[in-house]
Amino acid sequence: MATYFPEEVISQILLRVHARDLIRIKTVCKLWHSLISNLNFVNAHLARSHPEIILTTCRYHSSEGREDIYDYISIDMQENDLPSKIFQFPASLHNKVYLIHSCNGLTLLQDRDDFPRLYIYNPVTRECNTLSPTQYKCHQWALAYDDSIRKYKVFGIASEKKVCLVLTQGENLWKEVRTIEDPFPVLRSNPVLVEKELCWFSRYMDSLNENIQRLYYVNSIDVATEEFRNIKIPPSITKLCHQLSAVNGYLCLTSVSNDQLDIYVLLDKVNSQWAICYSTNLQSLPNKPAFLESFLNDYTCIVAKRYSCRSSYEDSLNLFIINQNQLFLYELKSGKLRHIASVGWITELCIDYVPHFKKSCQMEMKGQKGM
Amino acid sequence: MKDSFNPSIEPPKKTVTLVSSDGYDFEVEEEVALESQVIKDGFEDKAVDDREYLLFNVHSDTLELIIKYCEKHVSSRKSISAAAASSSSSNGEEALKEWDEHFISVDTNTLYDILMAADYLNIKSLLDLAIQKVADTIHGRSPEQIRKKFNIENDSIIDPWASE
Repeated sequence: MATYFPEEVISQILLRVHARDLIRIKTVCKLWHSLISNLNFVNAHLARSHPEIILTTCRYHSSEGREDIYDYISIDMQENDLPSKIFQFPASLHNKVYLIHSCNGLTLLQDRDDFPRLYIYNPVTRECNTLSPTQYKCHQWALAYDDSIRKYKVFGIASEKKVCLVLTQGENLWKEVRTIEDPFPVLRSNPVLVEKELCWFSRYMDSLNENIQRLYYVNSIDVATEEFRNIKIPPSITKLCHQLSAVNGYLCLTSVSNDQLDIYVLLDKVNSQWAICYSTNLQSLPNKPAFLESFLNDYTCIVAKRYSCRSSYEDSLNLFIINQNQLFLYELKSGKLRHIASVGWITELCIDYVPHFKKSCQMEMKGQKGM
Repeated sequence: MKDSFNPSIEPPKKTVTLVSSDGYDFEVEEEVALESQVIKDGFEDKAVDDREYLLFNVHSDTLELIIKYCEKHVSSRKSISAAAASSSSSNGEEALKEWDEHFISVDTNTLYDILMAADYLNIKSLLDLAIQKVADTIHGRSPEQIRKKFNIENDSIIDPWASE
């Protein structure tokens, strides 16, 4: 009956099919297989996929000698009821890895013990590939897609060696990219991808003076050209807690103290020009939950992105809060408090969250050497 | 019922005649016909007394449904914008969504016919609705079930992708 559907219509239908279904049905016929495997289709499908946020929670063990337990809670930010679930690792890596970065539905995992082993894992296809070992210990890792060559790259930033390591999909050897910066920055946050540049927040120790001075910067590396950039942070920021995020294609810096929250947006990366785009005080929040006593504690995580293309900075600001053993989302602008899930007792929220797309049918990792 | 789309209600409106592949005439209001982008393109260039469209690819059964859909959407849009103008609350969009869902809940053959007609006439909202419905039917089905449902020939050998 439907065999007379034009290819374009079939492609439109398949675009609306869940990734998990796509994996299964690519054997229906040759045409479907070639449509589903096409890279343009994969990217178009990805563009329709729901964005998620993966929150890292940590449960502490009181008994000695036992490790803390990390859980990763993925939350679908597009559905109205914010469905959440525990991120599932491949059975062989269960309790053995950290989830450290994500790009286009692929996740980057790091071995807890076996330094420095990394894995790329697609939770939809359940494919998991082990990456070639690196020569140095890196402080931060990131996964990014280089659309100029249509390949994924893994970046490792080794502060002590003052190098950035890059592994390109399909290759076995890590490439060293030397930076021009001296001294090399100490990383303070998870790298964030903004407009084809990976950005992270770093701290320099200026030891030339008698008094050791801390200088804060945002550093970035261009995913395609692998060139570094140094971006000064707004001078008004001094000793606060910071977090980087990407909102509508702009880099945002959230600066937080106990009762004050400011968001700066980077207008011009060449001249380090920032503008404050949102500012609020804890006490002036609408319908502030009674248990929210500070922006800065182990039970709150500020997520400055709501992933809707319509959202303004202020609309995009959410606060995840754990109170007792319940996880809530508090929308800063509307003052709406929504329950997300139950978590274990004595659970804290880690400050870095991983943006993630849940429905990726990426299959190109398959059969690729080194990735 | 097939040729009874005569707008006998006052005031008289401009109409267009749509002719189905099996030769039935459907007289519909101009604005209803203009829901189709294909009819809309070049509509103004056509002489007023020559507003007849031969739809070789659309059977009368399907065309009747398509016209029903377009009429509903034209009238709903009017009531929604009227409600917005008088700033009275309206659940028009919700109601229309429900109506759409009910409209597209048809047997497989009818769904395919609607999809192909919406594609041919370029009625975007209806095409989206039909495509989504077909995509929903794929959910949870095995390749064999899908081949059966879509009447697709299995041109793959036992494990055709093993070499890739």
